[in-house]
Amino acid sequence: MSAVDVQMATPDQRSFHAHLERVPFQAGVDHGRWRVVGIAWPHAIIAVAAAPRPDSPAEFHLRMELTGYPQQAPIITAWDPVADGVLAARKRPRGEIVSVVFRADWEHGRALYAPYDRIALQSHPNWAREYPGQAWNSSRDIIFVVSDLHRLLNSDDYQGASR
Amino acid sequence: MEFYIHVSAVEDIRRVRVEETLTVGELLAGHAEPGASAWLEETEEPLDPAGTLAAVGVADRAHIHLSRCRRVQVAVRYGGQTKNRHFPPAATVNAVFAWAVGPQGFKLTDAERAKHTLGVCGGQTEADRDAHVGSLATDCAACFDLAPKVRYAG
Repeated sequence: MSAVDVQMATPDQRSFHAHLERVPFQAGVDHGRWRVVGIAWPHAIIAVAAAPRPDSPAEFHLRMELTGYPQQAPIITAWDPVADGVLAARKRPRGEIVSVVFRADWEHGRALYAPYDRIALQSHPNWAREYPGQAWNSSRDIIFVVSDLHRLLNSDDYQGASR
Repeated sequence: MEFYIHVSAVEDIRRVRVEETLTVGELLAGHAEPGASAWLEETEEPLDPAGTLAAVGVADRAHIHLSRCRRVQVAVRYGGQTKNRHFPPAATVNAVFAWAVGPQGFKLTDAERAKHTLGVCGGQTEADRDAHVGSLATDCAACFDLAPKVRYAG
């Protein structure tokens, strides 16, 4: 953002841009673990790299709705950059644990089934207590989210996805 | 050139910009405590302090670990047992996981390996696979639990 943009930006937007500049996020970019595809506030699309699997994409796009960041968790949607819409079920990453997080049969696929997604956290009020190490709180940042998704997509559990 | 510095017992990493003609010794003098050595990520031996960064193979955006610990005593707990091994401080958690689930470790099957992860003992989150064991160590020792991955439900 330019200096003028920073002045015009809302606090959540300023926080998000500041977190993108943090060293661990930039180290991830340098390492090829993730990249910012685009930002059209309050949305950002971040691509997270996935381990090589036969006939599977090299990365997955996540569209984040970031209103109220970081007091509020992002809403994270698995995104199809070609169709510019929610990623179809058959194109979602598979795995015993991975498929749960990326399930398409819940909330019409518009949110991740993980306690760092706003919709998931609001609809499972017990998750903050049951998964304190994974649940979003205002001290978290975008690095927490992309790090966990990168771990999932580069784990032995990840079995690939249709292109 | 720019690269990343990992320091013993500190999880945060730093990015520094220096001339590639700087020697390893000069880097240590400016960024580490007395008596520390420098390692490139996932390497066994420390870098020659007399060599320049370029000469010892430090590339742009490399990750370097600075530590007084020559080795880190790593303990991994699983199923009521503990296995120990020394790692260089610049070894990543990924390397510890590979050892812990492998033939010298707890011999997990492929299916079991996919369902387990490492967390720092007593913690609630998975350890970052790219973190250096030296950064997670206290007094040159680190402890991890090999535990089932969290599966969200209900």
